[in-house]
Amino acid sequence: MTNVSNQTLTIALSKGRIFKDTLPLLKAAGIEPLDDPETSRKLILETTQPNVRLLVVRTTDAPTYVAYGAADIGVAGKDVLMESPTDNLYELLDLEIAKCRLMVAGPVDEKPHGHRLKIATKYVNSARAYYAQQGQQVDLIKLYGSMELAPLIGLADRIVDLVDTGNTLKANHLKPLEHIADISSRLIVNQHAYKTKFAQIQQIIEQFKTVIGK
Amino acid sequence: MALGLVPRLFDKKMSVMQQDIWFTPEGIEDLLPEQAEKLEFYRQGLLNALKLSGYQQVLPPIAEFTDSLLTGTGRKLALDTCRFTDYETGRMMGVRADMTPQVARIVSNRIKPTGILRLCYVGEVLKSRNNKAKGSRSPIQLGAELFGHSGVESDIEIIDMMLNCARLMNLPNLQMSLGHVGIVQQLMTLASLSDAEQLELVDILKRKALPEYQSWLEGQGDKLGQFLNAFQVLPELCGSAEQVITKAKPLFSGLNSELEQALTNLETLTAYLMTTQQIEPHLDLSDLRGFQYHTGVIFACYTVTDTAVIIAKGGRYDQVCAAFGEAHPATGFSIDLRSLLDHLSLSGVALRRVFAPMNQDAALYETINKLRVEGLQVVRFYEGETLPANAAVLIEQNGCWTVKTH
Repeated sequence: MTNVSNQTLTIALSKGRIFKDTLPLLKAAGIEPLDDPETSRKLILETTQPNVRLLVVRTTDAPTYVAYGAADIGVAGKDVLMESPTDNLYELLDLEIAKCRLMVAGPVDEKPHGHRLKIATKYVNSARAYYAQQGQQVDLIKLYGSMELAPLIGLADRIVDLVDTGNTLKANHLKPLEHIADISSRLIVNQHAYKTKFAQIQQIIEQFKTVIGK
Repeated sequence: MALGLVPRLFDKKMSVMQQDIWFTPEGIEDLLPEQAEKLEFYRQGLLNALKLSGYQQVLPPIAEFTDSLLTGTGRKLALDTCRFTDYETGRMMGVRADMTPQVARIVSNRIKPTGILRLCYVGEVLKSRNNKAKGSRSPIQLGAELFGHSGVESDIEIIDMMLNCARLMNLPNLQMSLGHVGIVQQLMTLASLSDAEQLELVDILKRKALPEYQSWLEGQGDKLGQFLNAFQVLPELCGSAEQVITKAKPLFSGLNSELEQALTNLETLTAYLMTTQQIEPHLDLSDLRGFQYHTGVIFACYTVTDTAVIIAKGGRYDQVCAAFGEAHPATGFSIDLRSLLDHLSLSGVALRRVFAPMNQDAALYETINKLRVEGLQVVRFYEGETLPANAAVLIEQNGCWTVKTH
């Protein structure tokens, strides 16, 4: 193919845990950012490869950047992809980073409910789909954080949330009840970019594979 | 009271509040003169190129009964179609969300061709959902369809037309992708997957969710039998078309004649693209764009700078006409001119403009008509109107109207 290797490639990454855990993968592909996103205020980071740049985005925004083609590839949690499925994306690789579980949790001493279950969650679509699969209709209350509070003060009966160690649940007298899905970060790729910058993207994927899970 | 209202309408806060009444819906936009001129330039240019290859234009209506709009493979358009009741008959009507099913209806129901038929069309379509990542909500769809030939040769003709159109738009770095939705369909049929299993697999492959595909394969156990190997390698059958075909050939050899034929067709298309068009295509055998609607080869072309932008897409759809009563093999492509407008530029020379006074002298009318026939733009101006500096103006000298610089 002609001029493949010098085409610009844009990678969308979120700050924090995903960024830190993706760095070793990028390094294996010979891509190292020239600035540290934790100290730099720049949102576009140049890398050791002149034609590769990194965008610093919010975790939930990574699929949007990639779906619109503003970034060619990106890293997004499976929780985000499940909650808002986006057209135009391929989910090519499980990066096995930022692992956790999407779970239903409820009070340790749960009393029987006489009404339709009230579920507080940030993941309304995933929660609705999960309960629909069980043949159960539930009332969903969308919250943006501190989900654990909802059952404690009677806003909801249960919560659907990401669980890592389970310590926050324990501290709030909640316990995990049902396992919905294992979550980890995926390499997402814009469909048009995958077809037109294939050799370049495939090379990065192969290099990622050599270090995934190590 | 009424008098008191007048000044309030012009109160700044009030007028700002009312501005949004004139906003158009999300994803539905006006084209102002500059954009409209560009659109019209390319609309005419592309239609003319198609006409020169024997494609006749049809003009389907903007709305029709959902019975015909959403029949057969058109079912998939149900969520994207704005629907309302026809007060004349009480039946449901819809605004078209795609023009291809309309053209298929015209072919099967009105023209009923016995041989080859070439049609083209252009028009605005409307989608009820505003899926911005996928493109405009109100695309201006221009396309060409070839009916009555089921061989790969007609796919080549349609790709020819598509690349002609793409080149007429002067877009840099053209690239092509190929696929064949029949391959996954054949493999699923050979492995006797149930409808539910097929749906699950198609969903996974459309997202190319390879981790999920791996768990799906593991979950199948021995069920895939002798086809296990083909399913295992399927996601890797993606990349440079020549290499993919070489890899797929031994894998599909002897499985069934449809699979072999599909590969032969892709090989013919690849050779044609590389030798005649000098484009090295990308091929992805598990690409399921338009699955169930398309029945064979699918293709798209892109312009790639920093980002990849799709120019046109198309493919074979041999089953669409059948829903309207007469089966006709068909292949075609379409372009959304609205989404491409920002990437297009007006390369034509601007018309030379001459101003003519608003004067009813017969000799002036004669001169104006003569100049317009010569291809000049003659604009009337009114008493007291300020003309641009150095404007060319028609001035009377001894009963004769001549062009002078103002």
